[in-house]
Amino acid sequence: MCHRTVGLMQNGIESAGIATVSVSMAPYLTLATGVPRALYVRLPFGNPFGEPGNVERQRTVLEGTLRWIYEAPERNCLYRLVVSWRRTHKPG
Amino acid sequence: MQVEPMGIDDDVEEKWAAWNARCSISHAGHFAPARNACVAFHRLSKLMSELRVALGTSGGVYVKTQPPFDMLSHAGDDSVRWIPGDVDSRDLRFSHDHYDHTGADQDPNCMFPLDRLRELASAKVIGSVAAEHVGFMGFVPNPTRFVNEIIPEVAARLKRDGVDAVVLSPG
Repeated sequence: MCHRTVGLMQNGIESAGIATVSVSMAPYLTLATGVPRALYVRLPFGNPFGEPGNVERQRTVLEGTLRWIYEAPERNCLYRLVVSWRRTHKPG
Repeated sequence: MQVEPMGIDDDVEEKWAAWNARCSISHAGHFAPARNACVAFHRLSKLMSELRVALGTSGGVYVKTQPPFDMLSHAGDDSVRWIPGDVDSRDLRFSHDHYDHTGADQDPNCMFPLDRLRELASAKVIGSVAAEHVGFMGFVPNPTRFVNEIIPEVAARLKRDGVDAVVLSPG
């Protein structure tokens, strides 16, 4: 249900003239709700920006979403930001 | 960054209908279907280095001095917590029982990357960090009031702060 709630919030903000982008881990829920822009990440629920302590990954996903505000070809299309989960990540 | 098109199959509507049917049963008496009838698309004229950016998450983020979201009500919780842009991320908490937020409890940035956003502003990748960010909770089975009242209030408050862009994440 979180993806639907995000999609509704996102579209409401976009409708007010603020550009939005979301990270999705449930592509069909995001598409069916209908969003201006989204990037799918193959990361576990609860970790949409990457592993705890993985500053580089978090920055990559955040900066990627910001770039997608400019590069998304059309509304409500879904592309995958290529990142992978490191189960054994150790901070530092 | 590396981005590739998703091979989404044609059964999105079928899966959506099945999901709605499941929710109607599991949240009987509280659930209402909802989707965006018209999807907005606002093109930015500013450079990224000029943007004022806010974060939003349905992961139930709040500051430890604020009340947590209500996870006991079967009707969910459609309220919002405004997260100050200069908050110490160690003071962030997550109240949402429908996903594993162990990682976010250790490092809020994996759910709500406010430290990373501040670093992008310091590096002048973006223009500035919004004064406030949007914490809400994904479990809103009937989003009628959320859509009609809460979201417009959120959008208006972000506009007043001069926010250009918002990055959102699900719980």
